Amino acid sequence: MEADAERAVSGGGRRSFIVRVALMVGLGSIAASVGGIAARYLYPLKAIRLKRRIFLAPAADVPTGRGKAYRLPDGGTALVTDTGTEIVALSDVCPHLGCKVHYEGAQGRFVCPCHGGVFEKDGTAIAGPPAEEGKNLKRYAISRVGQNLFIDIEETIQP
Amino acid sequence: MNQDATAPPAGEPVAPHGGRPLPLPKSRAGRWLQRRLPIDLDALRYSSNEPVPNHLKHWWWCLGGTPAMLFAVQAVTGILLSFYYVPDPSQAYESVKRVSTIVPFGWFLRSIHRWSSNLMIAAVILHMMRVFFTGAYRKPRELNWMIGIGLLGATLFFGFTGYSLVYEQLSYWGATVAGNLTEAVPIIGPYLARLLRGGEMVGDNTLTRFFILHIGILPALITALLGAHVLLFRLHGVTEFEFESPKLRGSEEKKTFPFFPDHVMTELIVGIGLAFVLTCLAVIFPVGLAEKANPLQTPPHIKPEWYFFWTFRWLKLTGLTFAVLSIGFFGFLALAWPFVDAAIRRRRPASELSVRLGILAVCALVVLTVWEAFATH
Repeated sequence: MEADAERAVSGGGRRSFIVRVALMVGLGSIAASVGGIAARYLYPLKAIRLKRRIFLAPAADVPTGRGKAYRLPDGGTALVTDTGTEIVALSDVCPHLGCKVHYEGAQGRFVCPCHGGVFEKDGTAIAGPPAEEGKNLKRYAISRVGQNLFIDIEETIQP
Repeated sequence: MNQDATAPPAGEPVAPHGGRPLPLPKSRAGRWLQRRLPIDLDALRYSSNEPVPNHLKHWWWCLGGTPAMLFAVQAVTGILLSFYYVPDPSQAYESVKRVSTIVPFGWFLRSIHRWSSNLMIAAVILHMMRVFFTGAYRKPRELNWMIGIGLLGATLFFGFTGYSLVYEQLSYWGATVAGNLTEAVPIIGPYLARLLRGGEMVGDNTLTRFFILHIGILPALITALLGAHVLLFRLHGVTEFEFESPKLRGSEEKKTFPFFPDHVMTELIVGIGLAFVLTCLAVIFPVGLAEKANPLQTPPHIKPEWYFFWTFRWLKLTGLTFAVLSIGFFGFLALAWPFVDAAIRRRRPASELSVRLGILAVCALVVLTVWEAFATH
């Protein structure tokens, strides 16, 4: 063993050059493997998306003209309003930069506290950055079976 | 917008701290860099490629660099593991399980972390044996031996806090036993144990404390001690020995070879070998996960990691207080050995006592370790 080491370190000559190149290749491949493994290890796994339809509430429970908040199993909130002509379920996430909107009773509108986005009861953006960008509140699909309302949600599971 | 009045005009040599002007680099880029980074490359070369004795070509003399390289492996894999680890008794075990089963390459990084900790302890022990049996700890290197003992202690404590974090049965009951052992130290024991556990028993505070020790305090301590260890070693130079073997002694005209790049290259070969061995160990023997910690039930057979086997067997052979006190005494004796040895050699210059005691100590440790490894109780 020590004879090999002696040759490896004795400097000069073709053998020494080969040893140097082998060392560089060895160290380089270790560094590349470590980098690749670390990147794969740190980058999150692809999230699993599940679509399903769940019971929301009896239709009679939805108030007319103002939003009622329902917590959803995916952690989000649906603001459900009977506009008079239809029942709409809106996501409370502002389409601008993701803050949570709330219902302002005096104005009869949804307002985002972050940058002053204002939305109609049906989710249409009418003022602030969302209106400028033409982005309305996201709507959940609502279906009515008999007297009950069902909502289509998309859950994201991060493994 | 102000020009620095003290900066020499372009093309003039730079003199750091008003000292000797540095040799002017030929290229424009070199001059640009030298102005921003006024390092004396000649001085750097002089202090890094000192001649080292020929016996450093022997693999035994590469063992000092091995724990340092393994420590670097520990740092890289440890930082990566801490991305997913949750230091909370209710989630710690699950987070380790998640890393081992779901996260890509998690099992591999965890296995490398565990195996390199085991190899690091083995390498530290082998390095210590080499230094001890060649008498390299003697004057004027006593201080570096003591720093080395500190590094050994820190490495063992590192291993202990590490396997406590997994929060399997051994983690919990190992911490409980260690806490009660600490309590057996006269006078300061109960206070020390409470400080270590963050309470009367192993609980929520304990895991947080072990986590902070493992990822913050011990790495900083080892880095500082390692820095001092290497600095002292570089200042003193490598211990010169007289050898019979011409391979170790070198020829009359060529007794030394340069530290950089020759010895560094030998160390790099060792590093590549280590990477290979670690990968094989991690792939062939990946680290598993035992039963989750259960504070209500001590498992029927519980053993610490192999490097604590000897203390466990010693504890069973002697009483609690005696075992704790004697282990403390052995530790102190190891720390103070360069001075004890010097005192013996002043009276009897030809004394071989240190070698005999060393062989005795190694045999005793091996016997106790093997005994514990094969004994069921």
